[in-house]
Amino acid sequence: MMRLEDQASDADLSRDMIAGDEQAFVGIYRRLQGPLYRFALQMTGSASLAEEIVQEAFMTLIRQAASFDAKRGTLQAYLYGICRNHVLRCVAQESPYVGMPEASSEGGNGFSELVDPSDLLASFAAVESIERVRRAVLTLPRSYREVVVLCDLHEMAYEQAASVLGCPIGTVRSRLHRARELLLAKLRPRAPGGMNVSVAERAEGAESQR
Amino acid sequence: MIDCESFKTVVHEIDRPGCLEASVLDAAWGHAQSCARCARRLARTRKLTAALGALAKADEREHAPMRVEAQLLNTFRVQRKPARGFRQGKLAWWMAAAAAGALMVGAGLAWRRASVSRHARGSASTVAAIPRGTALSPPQTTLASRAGQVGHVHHNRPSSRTAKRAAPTPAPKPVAELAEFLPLPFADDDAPLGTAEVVRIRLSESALGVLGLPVSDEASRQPVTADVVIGEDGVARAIRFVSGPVPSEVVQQLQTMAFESKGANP
Repeated sequence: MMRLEDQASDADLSRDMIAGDEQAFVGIYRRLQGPLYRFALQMTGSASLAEEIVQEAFMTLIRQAASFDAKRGTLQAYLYGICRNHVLRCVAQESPYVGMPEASSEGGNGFSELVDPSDLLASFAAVESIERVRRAVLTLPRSYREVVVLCDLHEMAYEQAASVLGCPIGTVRSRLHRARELLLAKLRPRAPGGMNVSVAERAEGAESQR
Repeated sequence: MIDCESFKTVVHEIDRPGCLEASVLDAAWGHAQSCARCARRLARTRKLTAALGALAKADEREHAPMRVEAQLLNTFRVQRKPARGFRQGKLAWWMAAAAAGALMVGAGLAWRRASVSRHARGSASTVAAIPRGTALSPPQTTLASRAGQVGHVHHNRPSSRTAKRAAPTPAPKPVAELAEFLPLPFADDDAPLGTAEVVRIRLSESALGVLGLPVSDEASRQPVTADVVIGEDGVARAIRFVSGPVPSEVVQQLQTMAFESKGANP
């Protein structure tokens, strides 16, 4: 995540880049390519698409650097916006992502594997859990997916995400809330009969009410 | 206090700094401690946050391949060259345009000078009106003196545009350099010229005899350019050789005849 104190130098770098300074361009690229690549990867789930999107985004910057106005936002938000447009284009062209299975073939129970991050990274099971979470994110509808990626994975504030998405802050908040609820539902542990726990709980609750 | 429904709406923002007011946050914490269901909901939400954090941490190592940077750098260099070239080309275009403008102005001035000069020379030598009553009696009448008269005649009735154009014209330099008019033999010098004209003619040297001039046996057939003053009565009165291989003895003889004529008719 970009620190706020770095943003002032973004304006300088972009000005120098527009003037033809190669080092300034390299500086911008090396500073922002990682987050942008990850954004594209987390939005599309495809490394090749993410590579293509990052390349296109910086190509756009090279061709239309003069269109960047530091008064209207940060260079980072500007590039995220370009990346998002390319993502939407790619997503529209590609076949929609197939939804993840509710339970893994190894019989994992999904949400129960959501444990402490330090433990997650310590074992193969943890890695697998991460991949499950990734797939869960990828199955979210696009408008919910992008707020989760920006606010949770890229730790953007609501204002920054709203700037990238071009929507009000309230929309970001409501979408994020709904997206996280969807994620919780997708990652909820399943009952032994293949039934979703929440469904089982509801059935159990109804039984007890009788 | 806060109920379960309200807790559900804020549960995803409890751990997000700066999103909830302190009072709402305290109320949410209080409710979670008193409601087991909402406490479980908060625990699940925290696990989700931790899982997403783990995904973000796992992806921290992801970045675009190095070839992307190399390709973009090449593109940047290629894009930068035309940009500079365009600026240079633009500068060169402006310089060329300025040079063309200066050339056009210079050519216009030169054309104007040439036009005025031609006009002055043409009016003096090709077809010129000579004031009525002017006699060609002085044998050494020069075109310079005639030119003054001719010029005067023309300047009496110019169009305003001609006057404007002719106004800055310097004195007709070529006239001063031209040879003097010599009276032709058999011409009646005392007769008034009337409205005479100066006509430029080209004839062979051997044809000078038509004008009563002496022609040598070795007269060539090369053309001779001359200005001839023709009086109102249509009789040629004087001649001036402009170019051509005119034998000097012809000129001398003409001058001698003019001198003798002057002596006979003082």
